[in-house]
Amino acid sequence: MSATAKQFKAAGDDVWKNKTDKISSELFTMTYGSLVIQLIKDYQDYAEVNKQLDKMGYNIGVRLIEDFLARSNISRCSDFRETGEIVAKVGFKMFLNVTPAVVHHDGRSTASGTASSSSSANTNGSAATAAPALGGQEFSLILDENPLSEFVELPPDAREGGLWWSNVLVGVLRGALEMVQLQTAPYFVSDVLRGDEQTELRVRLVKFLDEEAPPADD
Amino acid sequence: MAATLPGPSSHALPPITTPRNNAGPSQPPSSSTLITPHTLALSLPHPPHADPLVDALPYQLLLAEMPATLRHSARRAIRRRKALLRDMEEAGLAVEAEESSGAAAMAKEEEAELEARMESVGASVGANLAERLSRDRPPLNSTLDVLKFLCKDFWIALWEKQVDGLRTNHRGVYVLQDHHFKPLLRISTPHGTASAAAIAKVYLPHSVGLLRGALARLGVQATVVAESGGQAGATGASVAATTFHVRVASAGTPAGSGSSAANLGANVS
Repeated sequence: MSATAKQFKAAGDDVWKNKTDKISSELFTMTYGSLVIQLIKDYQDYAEVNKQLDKMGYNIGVRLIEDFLARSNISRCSDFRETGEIVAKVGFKMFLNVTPAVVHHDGRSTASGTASSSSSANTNGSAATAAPALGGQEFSLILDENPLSEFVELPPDAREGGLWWSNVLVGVLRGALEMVQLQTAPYFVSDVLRGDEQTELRVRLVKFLDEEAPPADD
Repeated sequence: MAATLPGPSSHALPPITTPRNNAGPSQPPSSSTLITPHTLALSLPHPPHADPLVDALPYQLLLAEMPATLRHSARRAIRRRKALLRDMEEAGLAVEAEESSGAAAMAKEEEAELEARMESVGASVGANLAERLSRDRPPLNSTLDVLKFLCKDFWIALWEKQVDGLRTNHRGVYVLQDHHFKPLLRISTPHGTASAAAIAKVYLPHSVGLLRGALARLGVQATVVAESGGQAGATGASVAATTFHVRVASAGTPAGSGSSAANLGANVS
């Protein structure tokens, strides 16, 4: 792990240990699970359920980020790569007590199929919005632990119907990152609940949002 | 009681210390790879100390978003049901006439459906949580034991405190009082501050469901009704004061009243 990655990990661990009001993960899992099941009953359309989970996640994300910034004291990311590291090592750690592995894809690699983390074209950690070439920058979060899906089993028609059980995370990331001026398109690539080998949540950077005054918050 | 894994005399599967790495690079693949962390967790008795934790905020935000989300899904379900009724009517089948179709009636129906969903989500969580919590404890032999368990362990797991008062008439009616009911404290919603009464209206059904679900899973069929200070238009600290009236199904009805449990709540005690 690089020096900064270690710092992020230490920061995440610190917030989790010292600045977190904790509850049972099962309570969270059960509540989320009951909600998803009710949505499935009501919409009877897995694509629609995915969409509603995303929407709900967005609303959660825009509030979660404020808390994240207040508690973690992380300063502004210098590049999208760093964003990925912080999301995984600090964000996920402090809120869900899990640390997904991060894989960076900068869209420029020609390696055979597997994601490579070729050196970023970004120079030093300038705080300015120096926009690197947006050659499809993405990072993947590989969740080998996922509190939302503990003890969950999908019935075959949910699998085939395209349900992403944890799709709320897509919305949370989208909402949270938007509030720090990053327009992103997160999406699930695979999910062990669907019988895939791993659970991968990929986050694509769409564009940097212009600096503007934050919306009036009342 | 600091042990995290059960000792050799337990009923669990043989301990696997590194479930994720049980097929090391030099070993041939074996069926022990079927034992994922999930299946392992299911097979072992659940030690209370190893209860995994998450931050409280995501859970609180999830609860805060639930009403809007369920209202939207309720609307979809209502629309679908109405479309089905229309189809049946067109097909010539006799259909119960809808009572009224004005906007007010629609809104009322939506509220009722939302409340039902909040309660149902609560019931499912309450049942599972009660089961989990009661697993490692001595069996609950009487209805009163069940109520006491709910007033203590269950309430603490959910709201970090015990119930403040439990009364019973020893004929199947129990009254649980919480002077500072957590869901009604520090009220704020993502959609702006709403009156305490509006909040209570939306979240109390969820709490009622939690309680009703827990009771049912522990073998007690009962109706549960809640009332909070907020509903009575009270202000200040009493806004969060909440009373739950539990009426066990086999209880005899009070002489002459024929009342539902809701009427008990109307009496100021």
